[in-house]
Amino acid sequence: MDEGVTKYWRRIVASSAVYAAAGWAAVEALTTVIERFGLPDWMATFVTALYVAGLPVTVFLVWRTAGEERRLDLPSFVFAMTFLVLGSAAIFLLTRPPPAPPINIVAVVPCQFTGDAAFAYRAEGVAEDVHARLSRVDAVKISSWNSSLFVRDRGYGPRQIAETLSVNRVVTCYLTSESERIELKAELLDPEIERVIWANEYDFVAADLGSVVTELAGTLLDVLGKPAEAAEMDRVNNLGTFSPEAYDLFLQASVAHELEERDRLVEQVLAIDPNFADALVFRAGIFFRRSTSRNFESMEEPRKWLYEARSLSERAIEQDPFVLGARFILSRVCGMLTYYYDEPCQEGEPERLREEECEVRGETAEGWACWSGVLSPPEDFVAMERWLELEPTSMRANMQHAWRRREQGADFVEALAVFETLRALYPDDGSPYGMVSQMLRPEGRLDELLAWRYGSFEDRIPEGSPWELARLATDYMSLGLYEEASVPGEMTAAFRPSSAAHFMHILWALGGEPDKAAELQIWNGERTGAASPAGYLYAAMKFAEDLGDYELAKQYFDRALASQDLSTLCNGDDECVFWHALLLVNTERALANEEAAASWLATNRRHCPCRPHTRCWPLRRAGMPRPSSR
Amino acid sequence: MLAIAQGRHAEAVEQMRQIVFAWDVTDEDLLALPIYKLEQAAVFDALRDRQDFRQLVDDYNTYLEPMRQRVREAEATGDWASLRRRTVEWANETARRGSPSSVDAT
Repeated sequence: MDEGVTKYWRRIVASSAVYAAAGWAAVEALTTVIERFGLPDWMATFVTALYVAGLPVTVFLVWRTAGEERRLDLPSFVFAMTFLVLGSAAIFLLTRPPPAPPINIVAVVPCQFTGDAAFAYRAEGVAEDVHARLSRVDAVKISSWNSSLFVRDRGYGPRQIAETLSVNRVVTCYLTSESERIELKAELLDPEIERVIWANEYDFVAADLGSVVTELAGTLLDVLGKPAEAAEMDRVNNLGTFSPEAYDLFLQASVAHELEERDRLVEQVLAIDPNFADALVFRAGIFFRRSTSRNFESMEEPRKWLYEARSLSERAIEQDPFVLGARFILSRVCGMLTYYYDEPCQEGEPERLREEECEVRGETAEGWACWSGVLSPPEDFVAMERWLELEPTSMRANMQHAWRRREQGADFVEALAVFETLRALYPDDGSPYGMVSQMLRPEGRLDELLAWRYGSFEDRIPEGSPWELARLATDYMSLGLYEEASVPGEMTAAFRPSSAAHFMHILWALGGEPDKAAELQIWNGERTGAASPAGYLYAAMKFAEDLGDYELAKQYFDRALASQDLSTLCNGDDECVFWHALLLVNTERALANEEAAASWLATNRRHCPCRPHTRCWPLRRAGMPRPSSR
Repeated sequence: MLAIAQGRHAEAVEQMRQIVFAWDVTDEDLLALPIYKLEQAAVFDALRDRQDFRQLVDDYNTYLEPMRQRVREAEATGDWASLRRRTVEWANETARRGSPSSVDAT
């Protein structure tokens, strides 16, 4: 080969090698600068594209200028630059990573049903089970099932669902069922553009319902592009029972409205498959609710239901360590037995159970709701925000969040805005008025509180809500409007005497019916005292403090203190001993027992707390919230 | 109550005044039913004949009376919205001033 030609080619190769090495170093340096300065990623991509496109341009330019007779003319230069620009742009566009997809929050709404109404439960049950299974995969951000029911009850379309729940994917379905045959059409929608992303139809017999739901959940995970870990996939595929009949009955139980109907159905489920963990928890929940929601003749009956709930929950965890709800019920049972029956569970047991429950609920609305009640500030606020993100229609989340914002310094205007939002979402629910109460009562604005909470009694009180009736009565009482208070008060006494027992004796005593007032307190004292002396103590307090009936008070104090002293009854709580000893001083003095009164006064002095104006509840334990009677 | 039991009645009345008009007492019973407690509850029987206690009850009733009137008016006319508007105005005012207690309830 001619020496000139060889030299020529050597020069091309050498120049290209120098370009490749120097260019690469420059790209690396620029990429580092781009990263360090927080500049957009596309800039690094562009620099790299420029470098790659620059290589053939370099070869071309060296080729055009390497030989003695060759000179770079204008057309060649223009060609090289045009190639560089177009080449860089092409490489940039072809290799640029696609923009990160927006975080999809998916809502699964109950199926629309056609067919034999006796099988309508399958429409809600199937969707709820699909929702439950998708919830088992942490990568799936899914709005709460409560939200799904919220939008279903209001008949919202996909776009309204997206706006209300802040979701950008909606799973909807249509189910037709006539006895054994089921047709199911499922769709994944992009509600913003109202486009069906994916759809499938299933035609099967009822015995295959569980396996179709499993298949549907798995397919949706694929379509959503949400990878599940092997352990998560096991849980997605876990039907929970070997029996298609038990599965179908359980769907029916889970959407039944009446508590007794639910219990009847789930009892049948457990007769078929006694190890069906979800059904065990479901029944435990029914038993727990029974223990709290009735006016029992004695406290033995609720204790029996608490024991049953505990037993079923423990069995459920044995069957499936990831079962939802069991630990929550156990922690509540633990609290109730401690508070009402003086049967404390192990130290730290409720807290441990609650934390475990939060763990198994995962990164779902229910999981974050759980953590918001377990974590300490400020972490609990973070959990609250995650919860609200997945359940923006939640009454409780909104109220807790608003109250925390108040604590953080947000003004009343913000709190009122949340209140108005909740009132619009739940026009028939009185709960948001609690927010206004917490805002206005400490400011002494009692008339406005009444106006916000109830407006007018007839229009605003949901029928059959003794809690709201009781609040109305006590709001009137706080203004000294006893006559107005008596109407909702009497209704409370008729619907739920245990709620009326907190205040109705006062109205009756004022109205010249002291016997009726005493009767209510005797009933309440016997009801709660049958389980624990705390009930007698509470009744004695009412007799002495509110009614001035010291003879009855003395009887009930004696019954409360028959088996244990006041300090034991109060679990060593100084405030509790202080107040009751003082009431005993008044009682003994009124009955002319000066010696006993002096003795109680000495007790009172020994237990003087730091905050003498604060009342205490008997048997209240440090850190143990008072169980709700609702 | 301790002051009552020990016969320190003047001190007891002064403590009650502080509790009743402080409004931020955390105890729910006291918040819900203070006027009843002052007027009727047996625990205060020992104070009923005292002038300063009667004055406390009168002062408290004087504080409540405009609110009662507004509630009765709202009951009669059905216009609860005016009372709710008072809250909104108060909320805006407190947001502007930065202190709720500086805006009078009456």
